[in-house]
Amino acid sequence: MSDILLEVKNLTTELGEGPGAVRAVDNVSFTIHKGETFALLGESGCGKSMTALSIMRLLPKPAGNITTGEIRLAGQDLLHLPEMAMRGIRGGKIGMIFQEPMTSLNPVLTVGRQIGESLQLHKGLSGKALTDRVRELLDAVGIPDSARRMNEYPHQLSGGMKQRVMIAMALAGEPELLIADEPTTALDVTIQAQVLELLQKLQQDTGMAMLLITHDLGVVANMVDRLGVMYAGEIVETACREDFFAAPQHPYSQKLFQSLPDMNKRDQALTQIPGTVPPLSERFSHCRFAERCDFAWAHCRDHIPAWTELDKERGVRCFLHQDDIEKPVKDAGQRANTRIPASHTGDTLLNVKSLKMHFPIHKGVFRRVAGYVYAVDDVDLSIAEGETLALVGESGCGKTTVGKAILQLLRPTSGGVDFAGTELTQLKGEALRQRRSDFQIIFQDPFSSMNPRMRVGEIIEEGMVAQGVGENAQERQRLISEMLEKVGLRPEHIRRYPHEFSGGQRQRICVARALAVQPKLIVCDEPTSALDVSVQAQILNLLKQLQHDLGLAYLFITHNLSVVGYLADRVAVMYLGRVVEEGPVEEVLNNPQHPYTEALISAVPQVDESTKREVIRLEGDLPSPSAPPQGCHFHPRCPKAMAQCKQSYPDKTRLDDRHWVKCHLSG
Amino acid sequence: MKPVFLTTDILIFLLVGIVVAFALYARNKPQIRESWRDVLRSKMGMGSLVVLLAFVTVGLLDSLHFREALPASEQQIEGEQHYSVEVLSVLDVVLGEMRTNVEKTYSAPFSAYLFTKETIELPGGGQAREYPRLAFGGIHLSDPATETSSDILSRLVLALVQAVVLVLLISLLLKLWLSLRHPDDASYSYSAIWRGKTELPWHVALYTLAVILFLIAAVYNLGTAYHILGTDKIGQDVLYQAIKSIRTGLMIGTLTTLVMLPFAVMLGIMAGYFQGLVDDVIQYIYTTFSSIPGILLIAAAVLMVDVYIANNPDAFETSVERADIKLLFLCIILGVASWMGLCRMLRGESFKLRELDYVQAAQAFGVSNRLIMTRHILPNVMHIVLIAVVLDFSGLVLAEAVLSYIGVGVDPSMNSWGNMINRARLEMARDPMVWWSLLGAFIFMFALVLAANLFSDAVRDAFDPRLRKRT
Repeated sequence: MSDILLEVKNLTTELGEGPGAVRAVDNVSFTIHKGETFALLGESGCGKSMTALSIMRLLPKPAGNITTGEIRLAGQDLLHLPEMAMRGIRGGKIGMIFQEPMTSLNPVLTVGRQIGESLQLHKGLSGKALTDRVRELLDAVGIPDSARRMNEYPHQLSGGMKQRVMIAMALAGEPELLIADEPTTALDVTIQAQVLELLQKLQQDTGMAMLLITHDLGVVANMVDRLGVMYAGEIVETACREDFFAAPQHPYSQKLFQSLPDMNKRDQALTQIPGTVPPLSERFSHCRFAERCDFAWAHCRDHIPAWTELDKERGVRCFLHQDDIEKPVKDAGQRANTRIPASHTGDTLLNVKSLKMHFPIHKGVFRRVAGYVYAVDDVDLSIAEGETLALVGESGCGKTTVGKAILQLLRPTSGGVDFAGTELTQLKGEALRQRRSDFQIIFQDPFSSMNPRMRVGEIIEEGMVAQGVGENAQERQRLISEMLEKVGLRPEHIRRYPHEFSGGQRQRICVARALAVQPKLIVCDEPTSALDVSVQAQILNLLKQLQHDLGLAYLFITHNLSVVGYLADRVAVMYLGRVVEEGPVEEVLNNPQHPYTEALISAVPQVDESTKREVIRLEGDLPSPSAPPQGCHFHPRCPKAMAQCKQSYPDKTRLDDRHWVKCHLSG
Repeated sequence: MKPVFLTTDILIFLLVGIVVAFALYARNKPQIRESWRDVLRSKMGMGSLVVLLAFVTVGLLDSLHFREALPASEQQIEGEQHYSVEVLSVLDVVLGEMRTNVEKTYSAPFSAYLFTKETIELPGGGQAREYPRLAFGGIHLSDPATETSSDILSRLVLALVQAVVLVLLISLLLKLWLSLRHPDDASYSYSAIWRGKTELPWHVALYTLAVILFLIAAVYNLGTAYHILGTDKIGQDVLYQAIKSIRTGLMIGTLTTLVMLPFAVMLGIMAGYFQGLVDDVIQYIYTTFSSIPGILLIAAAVLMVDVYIANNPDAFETSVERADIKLLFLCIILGVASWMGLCRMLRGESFKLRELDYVQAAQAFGVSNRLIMTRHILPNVMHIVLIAVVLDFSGLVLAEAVLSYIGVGVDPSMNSWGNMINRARLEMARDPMVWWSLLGAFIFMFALVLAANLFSDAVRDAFDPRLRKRT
C-alpha cells in the first residue's frame, strides 16, 4: 500500500554477544500508516523501548545489535543508510520524545537554543526566521508567553512545560513520524491529560504518524488507532483499538485487562498473572507465555505458536487461534477469583489534628530563615482499626510528608498525632522507639528500600530485634519464615540478597518486614506505582488479604485513583498541603464535590469506552508550596472560580456525617 | 639473638591482621567476594596485585627485626649476654653480603673499579694515579675488561633457568590447587591455565611472577659478585639501599591510611547522617584544617619530634628505634593532614544515603542511630573508602620522596627513596655525573607506584557502582 509510512519486518535486536545475549526484540513486525497512531503496549522489560531505539538506530553501543530484519521509512531502508544520512533522519523525518523530561534537556542551554539547534540542522534556518519559528513551535505546544519562555533555562520550567518543550523540539524537524516513549509516565494525571490532548491536537494539525510506547491501557484507549501488545520481546497481538478493547484475543492481553483494579472489583481478589517474565537470554522452544497462561496445554510447552492473521489488521500469536492445532477438549476457562470480604472496622486508631509541617528556607551567609515551604498545612485525618484511608493528590502536594510526620520520621511543626490514646508528637527517644512497632511504613521504590548488603533474613530481623519481637534467634528465624510464607515467598529466601528478587517480590519482602513487628497501622507510600499492572494486582491482593486476616489499618498514599477505588474505604484528597475533600470512597469518586477532585477523576484515562467522560482540563501546574496563592489555593486553576475564592480560604462544609469538602461552591 | 619490636613493625603486622580478618569476614559475603573477584578478573588487577604482593613480602621481611648476640668477651659476667647495637632484619640476612660488601666510595654499576682515581703504590716501587680495583665488586675476575660481559651473561642465563624451573613448579602447584578446588571442572587443565582459558587470568599472574622471579634470581646470582646499581659515596650498594627503602615507602603508604581512616570515616558519616549542628562543627573543623598548608604542619611536627629525640637520648636503645619513632610521627602527621578529602566525600555520600528508604525504614523500626550508621551507612560507603585508600597509597609514597627531599621527611639514617634522591642532587652535579643512585630510587618507586595505580584502577572499576557493568 502506498500510504504505509513505517514498515518493520522481522526485527531482531540483541544485547550482548554469544550464547548469553539478551534477545530484547525478537522477530517483531508491524506497519504504521501515514497520520496514524500506533501503540506498542507492554510491561517493563518487554522490549518496546528497544524496538523504538532500533528504529532510530540509537541502540546502546557496543552491546546492542540489530541481528536481522528490515526497517523501511517511506520505502527507504533505514538499516543500510550510512550514519551521516541517518542523522538527517533522526530529528528530521523521525522525531522522538522520551519518558523523563527532567533529564532530556540540557540544563545549561536556554530552551530556545535547544529547539533552535534542531531547526538549524534540519531546516537551515538562522537569525530572525529561526527565533520566529521557535516561538511558533512554543505557541503550538501551548506554552504561554513564548517570547519570554524561549530565553529561560529548563530548571525554570515545570515538568509538564519541559515535556512540552521536548515535544516542540521533536516537532522542529517537521517529522513524518513521532516516536513517543512513555511520554506521560513521569507526569501527574492532570498534566498527563494536558500532554495527551496536545499530542492529539498536533497530530491532527500536522498529519504526522505517531508510535506511542506505553504500559498504560488507559492512555492507549484514548489515543491510538491501532496497537501491538508486546510480551517478552515478541508482539503477541495486534488489533485496531475498538476490536482490542471489545475483545482482546491473546490470553496475556485478557489478563492485563482483568488485573486492572477498579471500584467494581472491590470485594474480590484481582486477577494476577502468576510467575514472572522468562529471561530473554533464553532461546525459546515453546510459547513464552505458557508458564503463566491459564489456557496452556502440553502443546504450548513444546511448540512455538505461529503468527495467525484473524482478519485484516488483526493478528495474534497463540495456539488457541490456530486452526490446524487440535485444542484440548477441556477449556481451562476463567478461574473464579476468590472473594475477599471487607474487614471489620473498629474504634478510631489514629487521629491527626491540625497537623502542620513547615520546612524553613535558609538564605544568605548566616542562613537566616527567609520563608517556609508549607508542605503540610492544617491536616485532620482519622483512621479506624481495620480501615483503609486513601490519601490522594498530585506529586508535591505533601501527601508523603503527612505519612512521614504521622510516623514521626519527620517531627511536625505543630499539631497532634494521637495514636490509640498516645500523643506521638510528645514522645521522645526511648519512649517513641518502643511504640514504633505499632506503626510501620512501606515505600514506593522496592529497590531502594532495602539495604543491598543485607540478606532478606537480616533485613526482616532488624526491626524485630529493635522492637524485641521474638525471644531468641531461633524464635525469630521461625517467625521470619512464617512471615515470608504469609506474603507468598518461600522460607529458603531468608538467605538471599534483595537483588536476587524481582520488583514485586521485593515489595513482598518490604511488607513482610513491616508485618514482622506486628503493627496496627501501615502507611503505604505509593507501594505499587513502581510496579507493572500484573504485579500491582499481586501486591494489592496481598494487602487486602492481610488486612482481612490481621485487622490492619492502612494509610494508603497514592495518585492512582483506580487503586483507591479498589482498596480504600475512605478517601482524603490533598491539594497543596491541605485536605480539600474527604469522604467514603463511593461518594467521593462517584459524586465529587470539590472541583479539584472532579478534575482529578476526569483526567484519569478510562479503559472502558462506556464510562468515558469529558476531561476537565486544569490550566497550569501546581503552585509552589512556599508561596501558596491567596484565598483558596486552587482558585488560579479552578474552572469554577468565583470572586470570593480569591478572598478567603473556604471552611469545611459537611455534606453528611462522613463526607466534607472545603469549597465556596458547596458552602 | 634478641628480637626487636619496633612500633611500626607492630602496627604493620596489626594491619596485616586486619586485612586477613577482613578477608575471612568477606568470604561469607557474596557481594564483597564478587567485587574482589572482579578485581582479579581484570588482567591489569591480577598483574599489579602480584607485583604489589612482591613488594609487600619484601616490606614484611624487612619488618622482622632482631639484634645479634655478640660473642662472649673476657670482661663479660657469666650468664650475661651482650647484643650488637646494630638492628638487623630478616631481609638483611636474606640479602647477606650485599649489606656487608662496602667499597671505599662511588663505583659505577657492574664496574670492577672505583669511580675515582687514587694514588697506588706500584709493585715495583713508584706510584701511579689510576682507578683501583674494588674490594668486592668483580673481585673474581682476573681481567674485568674482557671477562665482565660474558660473566654477566652466563650468570643471567643461569638466573633464567632457575626462574623457569621455579615458575613451572609454582604453576604445577597452582594447577593442583585449582583442580582440588574445582574437582568436577575439567577446564582447569594445565594448558588452559597457561593460555588464559580459566575464569581468573591465572596466566597473567604466572607471567608476572616469572618476570619477578627472574629479577630475583638475577640479583641472587649477580648481587654478591657485582654492585648491580653501583655504590654510593660511602661505598654502600645502591641496590641494597633501594630494596631496604621498600619498607619505608610501604609504611608511609599504609600506616598513614590507618591513622587517617578513623577520623575520616567517623566524622564524615556523622556529619552526613546527623546534619545540623554536628555537620556544621565537623565542616568547620575540616575546612579549618584544609586551609593550613600541609607542608607547614608536617615540618612543624617533624621538628618537634627532632627536638624531643635530642632532649631524650636515653629513651631509645638504638638509632634504628629513633628513626622508627620519627617515621611513625611522620605517618601520623601525614594522616592528620590528609583526612579531609575522604571525610568530605563520605559526608556527601552519607547525606544521600540517609534519605534512602532503607535508612528511613530502619528509623521507623526504632533502630538506634549508632546501629544505622554501622549497619546501613558504613557498608554502603565502604567502596568509597577502599577506592580512596588505594588511590592515596601511591600519592603518599610520592609524598615521602618529596618530603625527604626538602629535609622534613624520614630520618637521614633511614633508607628511603626520598633520602636517596636527596643525596643524588649533589651527585648529579658532579662531573662525571653519578646517576645510578637516582636511577635506583626511581626504578623501584616507579614500579611500586605504577603497580599501586593500576591496582587502584582495577579496584575502582570493580567497586564503583557507577562503573560496574553487571548489576
